[in-house]
Amino acid sequence: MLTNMQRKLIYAVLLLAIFTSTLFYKPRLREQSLKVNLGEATIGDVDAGSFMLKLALLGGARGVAANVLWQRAIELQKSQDWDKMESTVNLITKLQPHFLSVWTFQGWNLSYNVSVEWDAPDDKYEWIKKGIKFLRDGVAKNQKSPDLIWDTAWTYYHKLGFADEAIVLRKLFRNDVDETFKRDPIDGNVYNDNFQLGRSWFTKAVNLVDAGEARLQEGTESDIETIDAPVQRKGRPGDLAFRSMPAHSQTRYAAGLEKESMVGVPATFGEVAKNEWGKALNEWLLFGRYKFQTHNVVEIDGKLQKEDVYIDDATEPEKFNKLSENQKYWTDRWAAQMAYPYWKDRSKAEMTEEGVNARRLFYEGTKAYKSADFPTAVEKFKQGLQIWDQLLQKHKPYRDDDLNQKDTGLIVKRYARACQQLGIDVPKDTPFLDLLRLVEQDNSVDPFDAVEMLSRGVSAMPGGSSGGAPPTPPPGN
Amino acid sequence: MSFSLPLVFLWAQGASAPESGPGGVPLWVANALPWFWVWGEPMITEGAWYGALITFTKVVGLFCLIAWVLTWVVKANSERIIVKAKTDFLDYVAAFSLLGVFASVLVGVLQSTERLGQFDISGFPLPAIMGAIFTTLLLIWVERGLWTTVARYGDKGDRLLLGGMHLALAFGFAIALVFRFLVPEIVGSWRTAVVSGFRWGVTYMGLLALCRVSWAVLFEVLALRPKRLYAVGSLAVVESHRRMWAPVTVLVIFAVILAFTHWFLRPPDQRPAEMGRLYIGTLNTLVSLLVIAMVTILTPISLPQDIKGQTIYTIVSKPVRRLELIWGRLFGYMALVTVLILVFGGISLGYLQSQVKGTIDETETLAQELREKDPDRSKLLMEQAEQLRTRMSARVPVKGVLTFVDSRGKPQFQGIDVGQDSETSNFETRSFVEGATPSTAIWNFGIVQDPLDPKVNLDRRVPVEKLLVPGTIEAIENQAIILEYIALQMKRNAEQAGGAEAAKLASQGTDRDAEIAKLRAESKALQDRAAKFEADADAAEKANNLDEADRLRREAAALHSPPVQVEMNFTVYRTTKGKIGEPVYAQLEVTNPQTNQPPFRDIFPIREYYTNKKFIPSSYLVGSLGALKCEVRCISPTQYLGMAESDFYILLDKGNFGVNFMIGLFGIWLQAMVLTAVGVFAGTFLSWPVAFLTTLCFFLAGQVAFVFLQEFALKSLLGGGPAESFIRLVTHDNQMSELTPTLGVIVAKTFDGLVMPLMGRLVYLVPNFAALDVTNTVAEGFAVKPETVFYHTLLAIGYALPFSIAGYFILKNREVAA
Repeated sequence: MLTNMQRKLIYAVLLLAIFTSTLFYKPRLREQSLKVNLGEATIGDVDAGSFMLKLALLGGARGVAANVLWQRAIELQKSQDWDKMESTVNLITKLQPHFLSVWTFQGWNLSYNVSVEWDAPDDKYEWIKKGIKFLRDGVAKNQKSPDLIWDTAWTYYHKLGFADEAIVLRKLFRNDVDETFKRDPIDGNVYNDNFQLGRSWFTKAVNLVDAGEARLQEGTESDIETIDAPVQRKGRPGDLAFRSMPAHSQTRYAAGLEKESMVGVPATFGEVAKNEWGKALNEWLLFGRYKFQTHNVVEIDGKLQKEDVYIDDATEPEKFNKLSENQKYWTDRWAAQMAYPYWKDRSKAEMTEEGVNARRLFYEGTKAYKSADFPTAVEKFKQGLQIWDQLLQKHKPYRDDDLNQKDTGLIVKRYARACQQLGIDVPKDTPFLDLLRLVEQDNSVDPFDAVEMLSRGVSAMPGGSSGGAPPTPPPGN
Repeated sequence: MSFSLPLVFLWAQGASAPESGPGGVPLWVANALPWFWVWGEPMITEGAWYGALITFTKVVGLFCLIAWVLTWVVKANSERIIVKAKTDFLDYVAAFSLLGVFASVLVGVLQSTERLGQFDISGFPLPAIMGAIFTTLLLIWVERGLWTTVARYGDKGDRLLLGGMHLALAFGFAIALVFRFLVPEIVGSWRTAVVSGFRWGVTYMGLLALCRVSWAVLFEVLALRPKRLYAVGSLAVVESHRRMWAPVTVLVIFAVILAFTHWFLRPPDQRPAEMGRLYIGTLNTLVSLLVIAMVTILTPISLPQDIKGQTIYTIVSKPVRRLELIWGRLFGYMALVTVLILVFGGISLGYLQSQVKGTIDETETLAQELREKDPDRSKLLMEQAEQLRTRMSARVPVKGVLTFVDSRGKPQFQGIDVGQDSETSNFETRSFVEGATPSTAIWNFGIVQDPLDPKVNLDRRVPVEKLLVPGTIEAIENQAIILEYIALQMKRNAEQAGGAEAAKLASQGTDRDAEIAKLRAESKALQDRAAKFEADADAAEKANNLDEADRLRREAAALHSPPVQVEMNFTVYRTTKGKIGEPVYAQLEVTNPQTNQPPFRDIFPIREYYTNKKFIPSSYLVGSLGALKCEVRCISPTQYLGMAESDFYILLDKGNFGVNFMIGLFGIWLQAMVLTAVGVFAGTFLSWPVAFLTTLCFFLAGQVAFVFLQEFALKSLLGGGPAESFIRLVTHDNQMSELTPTLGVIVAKTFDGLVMPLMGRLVYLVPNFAALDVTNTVAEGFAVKPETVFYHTLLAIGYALPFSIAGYFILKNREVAA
């Protein structure tokens, strides 16, 4: 029989031995974790809560706990207990920070589903912001996931920029004092427009894919045999939409500048607008000149090969004519699918002095029209339409595009109405007069222009943009 | 359940002849019958306040019966009375009957799965007859054991009880027969008469057993001495300190977790309003977990360890009663829990004070800073600070009765169902009023007819006296008007009475008139003073003396009662987006139905998921006698406002958060008390590991799985009992589809048929711990009502007392010093 002391000594030696053995194992573990990007902390930013929780629930219990919490989050969402739901979701990510679906699903859930449940736009904004921050948190913990980065970008771009309340939400974004939220992930500057942030995050995702990173394809799961293997959703070869998003964001930004796309923020023209449209053109060219590959294979030099496709070739007849039939087919098809000629030509047209001037005149004319200053409106519209006509003579694809025809048609319609108010006839030589017929029955307004949506701008909203007035204090207290 | 009880009572009261009931029975019999029914049928009780008490007594009685019979059966077994060395004919019959009971369940299952045809013998299904026969045979065997053992070892009380129990059973059958003849609405057939007779008889047996137990306990209670209780209690405290330094350990763990709470608990950023709720919820959970863990570990270990370590010799050899051993321990542990909860409560309050109050200040400072730069956000932050403050109070709401008027102007119980599932925290479903239509939600205060049952009047009066500050204009006016009401009533009485009575009433009336005139004069003087203050304030303002104007206005306001605060939580349902950024507007209209005062109206924007606050001038309470009519309409066309009864209330008092928080912790104290009783009870007859696990299971079953147990008892569980569910689990079958009646499934269902009734009864045994928890009310910033505390205390005692007494009997009959 061993004495008590002897037993304790043996335990101590065993403990020491086990501890020492980890020293040899550690470098390998570290190497592995670096390889698959499973590092738990960036220097100086240790998530202690997550670490402790994982320590407390070593092994399989973590999955079970995450499962229970997920169900609880759904229950809480059903009972509209939003804040408890958010903290529950946060706990899941602390348990399993590399479980990408939580980030993707709950980030979307917070910014898309929870935000719509709230009535006041500033509450909606808070929840969209929570969703985006949640996704960004996910990106911080999974830096090599193009999916999560793309989701972040999409929420900045789409949820803030395309919601029914976009004109208010974008204003709230502009006024937000939280600089971290508005900081560009690439150049580190603070931007006031969600489309700018969208562009940078989209670009970041594209860059990551170009650098060959694909968290789910080559990450942890590659060694595991799963029945329904998780697939990388974004940035797979041939993903046209994925690569076009930086250009789309930049275009949206430039277009937003030239109207009151945020409540109470006047439009911007001049060099700034020209410059942003120039950047949009660059982004489109970057997209158009990216080497895609045909889906099918053809025989070249006796070997079955895929052929290179540059979408931009569709707008360059000389290059296009030199392509093989197969290349022509795909170039044409993809260019049409992405409306590439329209976007490229539009950027080209809008970036010119005339383009910006015409837009300015349309904007000023519309404002005058909405405030019943018809002589000014007639004058501005007339000048604008003439410049616009001259410019679009040189931009056939843009001129003939349906979207542009509707846009320009609306201006002509307002011009005609303003003339009517003044009791004068619309001059017969007014350009684009033929479009009037197209838009006569169309009463839709541009949902991203506050001048259109709220005819008197910000003053139309009682109590500013926030939903409820603060509670009235009891008099005399 | 008291569904048909009124029927019997009506029948009893509405007897045709004053001296006799229907069928010529004397009236006293007719009046007594309903009570026999209420006390006999386990599933029925009275609708009045004592209804729950009746059920409690019946349930405890049934458990007493089971315990008494089991004790004697065990005794009979240990004394070799039942199972003798040489088995006789009756033993074989008993063994055969056991198999027979199993067979009857099997036949039932086979019939339900259509493997066997249905056989009915004079209306009774075959399995029921089989079950009855075999159970009777088994009971005969038990009877023999009982009679022999009680005759040999029982005292007078036991023998009396045994005889009485048989009489009680016979009485049950007799009552059922009487019901069969006199109240066929309740006992409709002979079959029901037999079944009801048995049920009622057994309940009466239980009540007799309860009397016997109470008699025995009464003497034990009378013999209790506080000194000895104190001694045993202090021993429990000392012991728990020695054992793992339990209280100190728990305190240290609490402190450590609290120090790092912010690691795990991130208050929702941008929404400090939620911080209070999150923190209060977490702190309560933490306190509950620690206290419960301590109690679960300490209490079941104590007695078994004493018995095992033979230290119990020292105690039982002293003149200490066994009940003192149990209750002394209970008191000792509860003293410890009390101290711990007080300390936890103190620390938690301090923590909340520093964290949440700090956040309120921070939010307000930030809001001030942003006032110029980002006014929208600044306003939002101010609102959130206000919301946070609301949560950190103990509001006492006065709720009205909600009815609706639909968009065509017709009165309705419910508003419009827009298909949006929205529930309040009280599980009421919200319904909606349509914008820019006559659709209205009306909250009536006062003595209001229950919209669902016009025979019932609900007392929802606004406590006017508490809201009007004595000595203010409104309070004096109110007094005067009430006197006027009385005067008017007296005048009417005088007119009716005539003669000397009228003269007497008239002289009283003169005094009253003088008092009314005095009050009116007093009020007038105050009103003049207030008007003068206002006039002076206007003059001071004109002279640009703003401070003076402000002071004068305050003085004027001090002469009035403060306005009455109402709070609202409405949801918004939009059919169109409307003008982007524009909120949905509501109109509030408050009328005092007793006076001709024009209604108070206010139009305001609704903010969803926030508490909207409004102030009504206190003059609307004057002469209202507690009655008010509050109407809410939606102003914005094509939009809807959703509301339930508890979404609108008058705020009586903001209360004291600290006190309310401690009351919340009292819920945990009650949980700990019940668990201590369970723990000590388990310790009286189990070894410590088993006792510990039993206590833990009781807690988990009561806290987490109580709803599940209820479903079990009501047989509303989808997918059958445990064995059947297991088959479904393994075969990936869903819960709804009928399983193919294979041999396995039939065996499983038979097993479930035997086990389920027993497990379903657990619902009466397992304490409903979750019901004692009031954390949510505290975290929402509402005061826990005194009656809630009272009911919870009763509930906890209702569990703790039977457990501790059961423990006493086990300890008494156990050879602790063996």
